Amino acid sequence: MDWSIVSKILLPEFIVVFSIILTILLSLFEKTKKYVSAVATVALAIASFVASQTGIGGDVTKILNSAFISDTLCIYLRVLIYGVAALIAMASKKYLDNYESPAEYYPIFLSATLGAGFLAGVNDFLTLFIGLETLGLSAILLASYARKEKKSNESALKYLLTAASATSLLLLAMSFIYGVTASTNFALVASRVAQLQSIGVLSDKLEILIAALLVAAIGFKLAAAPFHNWSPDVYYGAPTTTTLFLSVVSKIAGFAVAIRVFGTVFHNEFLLPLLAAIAVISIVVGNFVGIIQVISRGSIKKLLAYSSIAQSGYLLVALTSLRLESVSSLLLYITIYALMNTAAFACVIHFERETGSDNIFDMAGLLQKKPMMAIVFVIALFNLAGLPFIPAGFIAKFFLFATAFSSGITYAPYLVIIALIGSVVALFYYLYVAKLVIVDAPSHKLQSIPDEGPAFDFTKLTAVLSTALLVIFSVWGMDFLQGMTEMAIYRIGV
Amino acid sequence: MTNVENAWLIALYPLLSAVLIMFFTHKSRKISMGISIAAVAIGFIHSLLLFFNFHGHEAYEANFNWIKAGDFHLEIGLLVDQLGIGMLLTVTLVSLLVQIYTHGYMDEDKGYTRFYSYLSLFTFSMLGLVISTNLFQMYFFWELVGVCSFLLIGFWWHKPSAAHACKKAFVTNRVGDAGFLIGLIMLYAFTKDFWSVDIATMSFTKIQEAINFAIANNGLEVVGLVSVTTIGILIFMGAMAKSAQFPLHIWLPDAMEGPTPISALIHAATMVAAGVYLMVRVFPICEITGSGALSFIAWIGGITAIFAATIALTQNDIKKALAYSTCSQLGYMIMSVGLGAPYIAMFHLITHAMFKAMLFLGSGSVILGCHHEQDMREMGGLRKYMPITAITFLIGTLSISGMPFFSGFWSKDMIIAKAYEVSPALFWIGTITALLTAFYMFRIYFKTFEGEYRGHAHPHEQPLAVTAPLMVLAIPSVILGLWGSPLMDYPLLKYFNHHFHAHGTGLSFFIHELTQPMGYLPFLAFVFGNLGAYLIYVKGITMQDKAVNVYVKEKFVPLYEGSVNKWYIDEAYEFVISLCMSFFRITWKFFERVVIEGIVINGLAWRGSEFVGEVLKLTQSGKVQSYILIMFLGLIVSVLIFMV
Repeated sequence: MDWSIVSKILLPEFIVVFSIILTILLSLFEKTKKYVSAVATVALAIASFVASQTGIGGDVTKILNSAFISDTLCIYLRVLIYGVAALIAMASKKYLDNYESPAEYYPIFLSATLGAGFLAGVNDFLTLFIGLETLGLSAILLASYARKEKKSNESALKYLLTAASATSLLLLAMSFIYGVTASTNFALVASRVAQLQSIGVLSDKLEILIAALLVAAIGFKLAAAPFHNWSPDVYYGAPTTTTLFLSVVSKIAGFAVAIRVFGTVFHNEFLLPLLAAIAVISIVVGNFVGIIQVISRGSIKKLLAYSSIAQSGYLLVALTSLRLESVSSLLLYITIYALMNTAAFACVIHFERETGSDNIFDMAGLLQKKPMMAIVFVIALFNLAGLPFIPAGFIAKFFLFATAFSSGITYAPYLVIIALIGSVVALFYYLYVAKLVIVDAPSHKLQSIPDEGPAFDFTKLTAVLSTALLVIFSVWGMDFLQGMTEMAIYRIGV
Repeated sequence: MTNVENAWLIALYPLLSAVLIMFFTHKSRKISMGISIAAVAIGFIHSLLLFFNFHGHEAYEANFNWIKAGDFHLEIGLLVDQLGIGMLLTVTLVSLLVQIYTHGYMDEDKGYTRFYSYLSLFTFSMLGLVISTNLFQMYFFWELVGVCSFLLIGFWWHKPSAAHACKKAFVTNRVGDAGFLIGLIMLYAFTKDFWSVDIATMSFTKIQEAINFAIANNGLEVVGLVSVTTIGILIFMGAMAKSAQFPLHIWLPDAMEGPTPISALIHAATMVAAGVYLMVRVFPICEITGSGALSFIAWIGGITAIFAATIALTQNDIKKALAYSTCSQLGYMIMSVGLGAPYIAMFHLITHAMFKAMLFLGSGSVILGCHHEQDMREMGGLRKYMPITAITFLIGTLSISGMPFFSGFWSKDMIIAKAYEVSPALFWIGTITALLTAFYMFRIYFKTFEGEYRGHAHPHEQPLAVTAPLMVLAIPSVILGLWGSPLMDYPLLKYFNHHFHAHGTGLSFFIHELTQPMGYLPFLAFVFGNLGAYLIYVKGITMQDKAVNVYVKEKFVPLYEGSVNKWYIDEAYEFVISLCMSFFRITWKFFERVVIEGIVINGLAWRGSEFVGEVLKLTQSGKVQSYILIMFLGLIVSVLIFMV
């Protein structure tokens, strides 16, 4: 093994590991504690930049005994994951000050991110498992971080139990695959499955079983219905920074796995209808239950959880056609999704810190009290809704559906129509919140907080930065981003 | 500045004023009002200059690259042609007058400056919609006017009815817009190859070529599930919701919960007409030979016209009655598009904008005068107290009812005459609607302004800020139609359409037309409608010792009740929705209670759940079992579906 290549390709991961150690050390001392979040943010930002430089002439390089693959897709996803994680780390600082030992949050946060980043380039079922568990277990810790709050503990426990079941499904699928192909390596599995399929040895029933198990296990990570039930509860109970992490970074990692496993390793004629079905169920559940959340005066975090279930559904629509074009539009959409969700949640984090509430109706009249946050929040909501003002979200959605529509798969147009009807329903609750924020008079909670004037705050910076990126992509950066996503699918190796 | 290249400035002024008011001047009422009114006034003058300077037969089009990504490119641009200039003038004029009126109407409201910033924002979006070069850009502004309307209907958010109305408006419009968007995606999917780099995507000027190209090269059918017809109808769905066409009309009457200036500007003159404008712009798609879209459009328009008119007959809320009248008039316009005469629809759109804005502003003046009373049963005899309002309202009533030589007469009768050529059934619908229109409009007028005052307030005339816009609007309500009449050789219609061809012109032709059924029947409808209302509401003639309206109310209970209750459309919607919801709820309950908790948890897994239950005492709901079970059930079902 050539260590120079390994160290070059895995440099971002090394940086993150180093920063984990550094943050642990820093969190030991009273005096250095306050630098932890800055270290984490900077390390992730550097990792994101370094990841963009790891491409060696666009070649596909396999390292670690073919357990990790560095191709254009891997580079794109790692840049995205580390970049977004840096934004989230920045947003977390002030919010975590409410908890005892806020500094210790960061080492766990960084290891979760490490797991996610590693998943971008997995090329073996064993590394896939390790990556998923690094991400999942750390995320459970992050969810339980508000130790004294009952709902935080509850959410962590729920996450733990459901994640354990999902993991068991994944392991079962892996053992079947190993039983059939005598390998865990993606390339070998792919070629052997194709071989067996061509000579007709592989029984249909086994193929169905493996496909269903994989869809269930990965669907859990994507919070796609019917494997979504954990997400509203966990999103609601966990500290909001964790919620943000779960809804963005964890989801990107899930799609990274989905693209690799379904796209290159294991596909048969049963897989696509299954994906289509969970796409439809996610869209229906995500949007319709979201409305009930608004009606029953729910939490904004729960609302955004349902919204992100629905967004998973839209992304799965692209996955069902599994053509390169649609993978590119999926990457584009997930990038925009990461930005808009980060912006929306950063506002919620800020709001929750100021008022101690996450109720939708307490956000009424935010515009009058905190105009900056309100505008950012409303822009994020408009984008999530796919409304064409600051049209990054609209364009990305349009691409997603237009490529699916013309993918040539017989049921794709119906999927698109269902997705569009779903997004119409969703508009209702996004805009209902937007109306509360803009039109209504400030709630009691908001009126009770003192007027401090505009103070600088890293949570605000995250919100503004992600919104600024959205605006840039809307106005002139879309071509660049689209070029990047096309480059990302230029060489997807097995 | 008067160059056509700078026409985009017309839309920019109100945007600037909205931003200025929102962020800087919202503390000062005077400055905010001044900025807002000045912005739209400059826009109006600019539009006038454009009107006098632009004579080209070709549309002026400028496109700027906005988004380019791979093969997909999107332009934002400026389209100026006679059609657009007509709309620009209408929108800026009505908006200007409404903003002046607002100063009088909203004077005592706390949200005075906020209201002005929304008005400016709306005006910007509407003007942006008018100058759009392509369907995407129009969709963009289309949504923006929708959101402004949503915000403004709910302006008095503390009234539950206003909150409900803005929800309803929003949901209904979403339904229409979903159709619009699916139509857009379908259209784009078929014409993708046509929009090469130098052709702006979905531009209105090239849309006909694009459709022909798709039919010739991409196998787009003319009739079928995915066809030119469907694309036309889907895009029309957007117009149906915005322009309140049956069965998506339900939001417009409720939208009257918003302040009256909004009802006049958005829900009578401009935004609701955007649907008609859209259909005029995409007319080439609907026009393709063999497509069934046009007759669909014509019939929806016709049905809306007569349907809304029958409801307007019995409404007692002055604004609601006017709202149904708007629906009905929009039905005429849509019908005219469907009959293949989009330019006549534009003509009616403009004249209607004038007199309907005036009628709404007049009703607002009445409402103010009667201390926020909207029920016509509490009015009457107001002519003595509010002479200016009464006279302008009468002019508007005459115009909309089709008094010869008034604006509404020319535009409406032209639509009815067109229907006479194309479809006898629609001609009769149009004529009967004209009869109903004359009747209910005079009913409103007589009930409000004639007879004795029945209310308990002290009615009084309004200040100049309120009455001046009424007086200004009265002028075009009377004379504007002449420019579209045979007496002056149709200059307005020829302005919109250079190929406009009429059967004849001049006074002798007009008199000849009057002797034809399409000429004298609408006129008779006006006379009889007017006379009927006069006899019933002023003379109070009786039938079997009862006033005629009471007699009708008692003799034809189902008809009367149907009309009062808007033919139960809202109830029908509610019934269907609640049916779906309860089906959904019952299935879910059954699934959750019986299958999961009953059979699986209590049946199969009771031993296991004892242990898990101990752990889960920590949780509130203890539903993790069902979460996991749903997961596994999902898995099992998906496996079984394929295996069996």
